[in-house]
Amino acid sequence: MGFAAINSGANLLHAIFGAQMTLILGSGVLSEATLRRVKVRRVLRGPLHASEPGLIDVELTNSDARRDVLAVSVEDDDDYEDPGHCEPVFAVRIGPRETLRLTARVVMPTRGRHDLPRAVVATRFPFGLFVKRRELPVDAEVLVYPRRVLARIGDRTTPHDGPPHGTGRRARDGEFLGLRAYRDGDELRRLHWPATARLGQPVVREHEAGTGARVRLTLRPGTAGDPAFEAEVEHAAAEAGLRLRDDGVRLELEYGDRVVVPAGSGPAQHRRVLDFLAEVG
Amino acid sequence: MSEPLPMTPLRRLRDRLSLAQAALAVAAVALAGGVGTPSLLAVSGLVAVAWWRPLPAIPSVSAQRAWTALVLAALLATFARVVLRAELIDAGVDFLLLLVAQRMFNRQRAREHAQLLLLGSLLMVVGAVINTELSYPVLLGAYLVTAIMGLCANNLMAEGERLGARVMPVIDREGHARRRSLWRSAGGVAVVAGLGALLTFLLFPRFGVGVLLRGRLASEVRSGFSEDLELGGFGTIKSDATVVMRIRPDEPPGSDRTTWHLRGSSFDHYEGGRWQHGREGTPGPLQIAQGYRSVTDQGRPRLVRSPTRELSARPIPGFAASTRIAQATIVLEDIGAEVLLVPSDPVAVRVLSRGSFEALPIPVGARNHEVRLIRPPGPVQYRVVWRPDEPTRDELAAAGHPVVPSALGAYLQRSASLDPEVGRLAQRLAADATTRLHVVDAIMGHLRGYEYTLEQRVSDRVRDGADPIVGFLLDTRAGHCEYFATAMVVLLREVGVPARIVNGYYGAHHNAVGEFYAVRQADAHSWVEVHFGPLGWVTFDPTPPSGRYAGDDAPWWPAATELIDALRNSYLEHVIDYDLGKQLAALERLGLRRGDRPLDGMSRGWWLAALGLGLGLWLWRRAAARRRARVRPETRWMLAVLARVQQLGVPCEPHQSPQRIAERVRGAGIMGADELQRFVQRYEVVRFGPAPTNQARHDLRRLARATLRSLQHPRAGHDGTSSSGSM
Repeated sequence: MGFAAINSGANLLHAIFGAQMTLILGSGVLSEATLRRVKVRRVLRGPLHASEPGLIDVELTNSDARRDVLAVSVEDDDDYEDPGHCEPVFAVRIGPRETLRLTARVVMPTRGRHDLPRAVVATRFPFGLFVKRRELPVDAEVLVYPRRVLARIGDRTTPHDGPPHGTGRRARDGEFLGLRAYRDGDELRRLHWPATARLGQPVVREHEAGTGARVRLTLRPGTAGDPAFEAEVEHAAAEAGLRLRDDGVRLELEYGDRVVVPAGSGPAQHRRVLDFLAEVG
Repeated sequence: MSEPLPMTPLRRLRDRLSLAQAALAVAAVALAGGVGTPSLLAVSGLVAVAWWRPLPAIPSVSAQRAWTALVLAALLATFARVVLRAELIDAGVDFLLLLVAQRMFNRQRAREHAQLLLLGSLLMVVGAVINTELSYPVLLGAYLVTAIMGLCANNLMAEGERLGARVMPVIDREGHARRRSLWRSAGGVAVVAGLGALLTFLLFPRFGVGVLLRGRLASEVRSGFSEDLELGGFGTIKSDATVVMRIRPDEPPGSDRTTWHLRGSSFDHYEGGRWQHGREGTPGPLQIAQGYRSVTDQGRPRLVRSPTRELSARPIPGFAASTRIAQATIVLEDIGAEVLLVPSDPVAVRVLSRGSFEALPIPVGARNHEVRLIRPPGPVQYRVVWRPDEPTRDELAAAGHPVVPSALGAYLQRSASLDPEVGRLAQRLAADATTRLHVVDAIMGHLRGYEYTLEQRVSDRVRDGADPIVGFLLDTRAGHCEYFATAMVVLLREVGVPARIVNGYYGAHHNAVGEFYAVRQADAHSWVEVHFGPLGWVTFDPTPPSGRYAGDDAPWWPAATELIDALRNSYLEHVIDYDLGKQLAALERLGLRRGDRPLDGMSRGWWLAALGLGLGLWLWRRAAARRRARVRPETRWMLAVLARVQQLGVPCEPHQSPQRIAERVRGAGIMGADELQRFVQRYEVVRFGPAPTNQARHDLRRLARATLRSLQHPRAGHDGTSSSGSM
């Protein structure tokens, strides 16, 4: 166009050439400005198991007080070959000072403590002529639990009659002992609703320590990445979950010849076991 | 056939925008005659079919193969047309139109729409080359908005295709729901693009290298004026209000209607109802004189400079006003004739550049006082000098009955097909005439008894094969200007008076909006020139006055027509003809002088005003931004202190309270923790307590300064160095 305009001296070609150049430049500037205004935060919505999609919230905030942010995506950075993968999200419009929360699925192939896949916030707005992208800072590490497999009771767990656990008489399967304030990890089904409603804060029932089974889950030492050991870990995690689903079962985890997770029960104990199994080896 | 593609709102919108921008681009080319009617109809039909049929989700393989074969065949045909018939633009446009139709049939993905948008932009470029009409900027404005919106919508769809099926429905739904925001943004870009176009247009230097010049691009316009004159072949030109010329005289005549005879072709040979250019007509090459191309008389240019260095016409003995000249600038549309329309008795012409894009048309000759030229298509602009006055009747009478030189023999030619009755009529009319003027008066007096009509009355004699002018003179006694002018010439020649018929336009309508005189198709006219010896050719018009004028202006909304015509003229003058000279003149008007001459006072004032306006606007925006982002002073002081804390290596997370940060500072062993603690306590009172007094704020500020001074890394304190933030 430029050559044709200069060659011919035709006025309309000059005008069209100017319009096209301005469109190209304007498109680049607009994309850049759009990207500068947007802030991104990624938050996992729940525990993450290896090779299984987990949910992640992507919060997009428009920091500008007057202008919209239009057509931005958050997607994996293809400059890096991260083993994990996060689904892209796309926001058509984020109003001034508005925060938009979009949900995507993230898959991490292996257990352990990992960075989330590197991501970029990108835009091709308005015309798709340019791709402007900004790398997002590396998020805090996430803990990926072992892959979930079909659980079965194996020989990893053995009944164990060791000394009573330090929780004393507080357990879940004995006689009713009293009420106490809800703590993180308590089962929701233990909520005492009338007391919760009366006091305005969650309250759970406590029971005397009963006579529930006490089992030890044993994991033979191994090296992370070794398929056999990985399979062991996955089955141990599954078995722990299965055992702890039963009321009154107190489970402890032994790794090698050492109890690495003291006996406990319920979902909180399950999480403690998974926390250990995520990084073992 | 596969399942039809679901038409979601955003997809439908994108379809419409793609089609609209392509249609606008085709219109820009078609209005300049760049698209043949068959091509246009064929492509319109194909596009209509493509539009209304259900769009398959996946195009069938056989259909794709058929299209590929068709496009290849069209490509070969285009190549052949370019090589064999030099139809670069026509063939290229036809090919682009076929591609548009093909894309309309296969427009499932964003890629195809991007190609449609690209085809639209190419057609607009072609339009820019061949369309010099006012329609182009109007279409360009609409095209810019439509194409930009189309690009935006297509970009969203492309993102959906790229990011996968999970994102596409979101984009589809949200893209349509939020389209106002998108259009606002796209509109802003369109405005900026328009400004960019304007600035480039105004400021980019015009070089006009001219490596490639366009060929014959524009089509010819049918005109009431014709270089062929055949009696009985006249249509309904008198009702056509299309403007063919715009005349801007240096000295306006002071009336809304002028009586200029604007001559185009003149004919010397008449035979069987048809006028032609005889080979014997007076040759008259144009000569360069005083920067013009001057008409010559006996090899001498008519245009001369008077002793006072003013331009004038060569004097003619016996014609007192012969040296007086008038000048005008004329824009002549492409009427399909290679002749410049000039007022009767032309003296000289100079063709003006209409931009450096095309080669300057060159006047090449003035046979029979016609000014012919080799012209490119499109309007031509030229200056013309002519003698506004004619010899008075006394001067004409004084010429007597001049001897006819042999060089004028062609103007005495008589048609062999004429009835002898015509000759007898002429002899009878001229029987008592003693001068040439008396002969002319007698014949014009006879013709005054004839009726002017646009009806084509045909007598039995003519129907049986007689010359049409015989039927007019002897039978019907009714006809239009060509009959009157032909009859007069025929009669004059019967009595030995050299005469010729002239084809052109009569009169012009004043356009008050544009301050020029417009000549319309309906003003086409024929008249007579009679040779008066040393006085030269003199114009006579035998047509009754009622038949000379074509009626008044445009039949529909004359005021609006006048306005549009003025706009068009202004567009041609200021846009199409904008060249390096006008660029420099515009810059000089802005005060930018070439060389080292300073700005003049007026320009300096304008520049200062513009700068002041810009500065004021910037300050206003800055103040507005500050008002929006107003931060309480105590918050500002706290932020300064936190920045200092971070400098010392203590991270300040957004969720941490100042109290917590103060504790962390103390824990890190940083000096000044006590001052920070005091500052934080005071801050919380001022910030979150009852409305603070000025004194409380003053104290807090003092504390903030003290805190900033005292906050130091332990090592820095030991070294005796310190640093502090500023507030």
